[in-house]
Amino acid sequence: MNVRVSFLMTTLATSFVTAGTFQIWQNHADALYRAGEEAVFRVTYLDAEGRCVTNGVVHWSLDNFGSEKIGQGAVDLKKENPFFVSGSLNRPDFLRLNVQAGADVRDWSVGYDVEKIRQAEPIPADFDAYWQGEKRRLEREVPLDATCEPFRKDKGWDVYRISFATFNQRRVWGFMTIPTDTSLYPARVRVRICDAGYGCIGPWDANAGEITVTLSVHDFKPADDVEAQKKFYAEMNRRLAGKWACHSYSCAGITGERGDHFFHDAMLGMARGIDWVIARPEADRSRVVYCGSSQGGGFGLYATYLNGHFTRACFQVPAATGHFGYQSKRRNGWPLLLDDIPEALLPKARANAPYYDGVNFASRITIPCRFIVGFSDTCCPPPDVYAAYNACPSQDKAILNGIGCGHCGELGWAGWLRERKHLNPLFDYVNWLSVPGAARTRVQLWFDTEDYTNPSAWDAMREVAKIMSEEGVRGQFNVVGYLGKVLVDHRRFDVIDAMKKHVIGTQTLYHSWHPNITEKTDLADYDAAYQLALKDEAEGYGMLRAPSA
Amino acid sequence: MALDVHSDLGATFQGGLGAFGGKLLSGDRVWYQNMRQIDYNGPMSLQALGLDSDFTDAEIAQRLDAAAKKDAVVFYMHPCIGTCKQFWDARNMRKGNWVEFGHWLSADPRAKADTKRFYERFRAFIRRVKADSRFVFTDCEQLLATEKPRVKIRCSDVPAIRAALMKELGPLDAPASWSVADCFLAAVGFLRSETEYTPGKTYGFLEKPEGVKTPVTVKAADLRAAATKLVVKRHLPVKVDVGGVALGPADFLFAALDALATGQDEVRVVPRDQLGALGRHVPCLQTFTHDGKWIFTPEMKDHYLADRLRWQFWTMRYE
Repeated sequence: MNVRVSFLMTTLATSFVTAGTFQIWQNHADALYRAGEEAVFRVTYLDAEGRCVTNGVVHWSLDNFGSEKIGQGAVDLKKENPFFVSGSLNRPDFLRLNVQAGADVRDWSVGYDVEKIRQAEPIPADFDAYWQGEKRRLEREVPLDATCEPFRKDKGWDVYRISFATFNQRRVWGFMTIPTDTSLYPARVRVRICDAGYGCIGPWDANAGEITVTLSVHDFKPADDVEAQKKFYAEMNRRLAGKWACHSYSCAGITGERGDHFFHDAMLGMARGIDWVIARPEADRSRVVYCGSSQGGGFGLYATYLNGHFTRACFQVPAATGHFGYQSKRRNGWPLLLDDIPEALLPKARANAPYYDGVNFASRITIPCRFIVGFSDTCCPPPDVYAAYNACPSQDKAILNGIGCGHCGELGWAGWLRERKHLNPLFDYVNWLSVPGAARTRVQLWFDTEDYTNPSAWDAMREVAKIMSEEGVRGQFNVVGYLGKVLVDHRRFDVIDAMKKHVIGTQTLYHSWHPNITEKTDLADYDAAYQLALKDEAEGYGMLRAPSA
Repeated sequence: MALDVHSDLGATFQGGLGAFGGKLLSGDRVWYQNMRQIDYNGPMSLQALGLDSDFTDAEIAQRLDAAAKKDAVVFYMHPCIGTCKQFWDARNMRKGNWVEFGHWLSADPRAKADTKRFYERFRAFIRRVKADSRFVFTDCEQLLATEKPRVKIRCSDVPAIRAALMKELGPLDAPASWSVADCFLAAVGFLRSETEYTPGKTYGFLEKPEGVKTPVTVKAADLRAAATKLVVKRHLPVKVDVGGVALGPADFLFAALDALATGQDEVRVVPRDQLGALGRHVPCLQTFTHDGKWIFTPEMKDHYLADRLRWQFWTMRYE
């Protein structure tokens, strides 16, 4: 690694610096480099009025978004502002610059051979068998027990609080919005799983044009107000910390058996809860999209694999992709699953963690998908997100590089992408998710209605016709001409009346009686064959016309 | 043959032609011999709901997943199998008439409980498909109501038609849905100085079309003269005399398009397949025969019918 600093002051005393902001850019506009290339960062420190600060010190450091320290130093702003820092990496990874002046801190990174970034920890051989087995076990052992209670009515949609049973007497809770305009049905389904924190107390991003589902990972029923929700959240964390000696729900149980991790039951409950939503008649199964960020991005990787019915997905700064960053000297990403675990319990946690590793779930996702990565994201560091993206085998995937973007929020990737969507349609991921639904398969029900020999067959014709009428579906009876005559001869108007509600087609005069139409018309003389067939078929049409009139 | 007759009797739709074998590229957008072909040897028969087999929910889900990948499907059944264990015609007419007309042998009845169960499963199946947003129920009357007027072929379309047919001699999607026969008839009209052609019913050949065996050159003037003399009342000619040279129909079509598109006085005609890409669009029809099929008598050898059906490939289009 090479480090060069255009101006380095090591003996400067710390001095007062006006509260301000850092402006940083790098010498490659796309912030992407090849191994060994030098990245040069231009740093400007501005005061609250946007002027270059002319006194004080900026401390800087370069690392690989992890434990590998590449360089550090300090700059006297009296002598240089803007100033330059440069460095490089000789392997696939991210080079991060951290600058600090008093309370002002900024991270900025650039990628090296990002398409080659991989996860060091291999996927367990029984990964698929385990999760598919757990899905089956849940179906077998725990009834879905879906609840759907009206929550409130908003303009354009109705809100329901929903829940589904999962293992260990737990439930998965969430909210569903259904458009009130029925002309929009079947409507696109958009699923979002909450970001980390106290969770959701209502639907997020409801929309009159789609069914939205917001799911919480927590095991308590969402409260009616934020304060109560925070209280429930704190109680849950206390309970889990007491049982598992963990710093947060997100790490609870990882030191136990494989299925003890707090996420386990939520992941499986959500997967089948989503099935329940998309089985609704209002839902368009050809347009089931996922969009979530951070914890919700990581859970998107889980849900996309475990549910299997999503048609598109957008994973925004997905968490759960950096459990094993330390193996590559990278920073572990949220939820820091293997951090702060007593040595004695670490082997168990390390054995369990791959089953909750978003990179492994990503390696099973083949639907069209988009990833969003924040190059300044210290919560879900960019090399981890890239490891997941590179593992994903989808033929239609793209990653949106949020240069200078932090983890979440308007100052992060969301605003950054919105500003750039006019430059590249890839960045318009909201519109990308709104893709029109696939054309629906046209279905017809046809009945080869032939038997003029057996009255019991006519009963069957009547019954299937009645069932279709009762179900509001129109079928088509393709009736042998002579059968039409026979039904009239036998006064079977019950059959005729039932069938008349459907489409009546023809099926030759006598069907199989020899010589039938095919046998009769296999003649060298086309015209003679045509006349023979025309005579018979016209007679058959006549036999059907009378009863169906 | 049956297609010609039923089309002339006013029918628009034809279903389940065995020669198409459930392998058409569209479930209900294929026009062949002036009828819209409904492909119904689809993912499953309704008889699988407890009659001739008894699909589990998982098997039905699998079939529905397959159906959802198609643009159109038909779920079909013979209602007689709802109450009988055998087909009525298999009992009485398999490969010959085994009874006097009207003196029928009854097919073995099915247990009433089985029939009742089938009705329940049939109703459940309808509800399942209705609840599945990947599907929409329709019927032939609804399809008929969505038919649009055919798009006229204009002289200015000739370069695009020529390019498309040079790529593949078969149905055109662009500039519009036209069959090869539509293009042939339009080209004949344009050689006669007509400026547009309105597609209507089309017919293929009654004999196998044969083209030139070696490259020849024909004059544009001779093509125009041949077009003037050409009278197409129904089926297309398998040979066209152009200045004393017998061209096959595809030879004539490409020569006409060349002359119209380039304005040259002479055009080169090279040996080529005359029928076109039948195998890509109707794979099963390539080798299909009625001989030995279904319930036919042993005397049914299919000397003419399957070949005639193949020779109608120029009538095929998607719309």
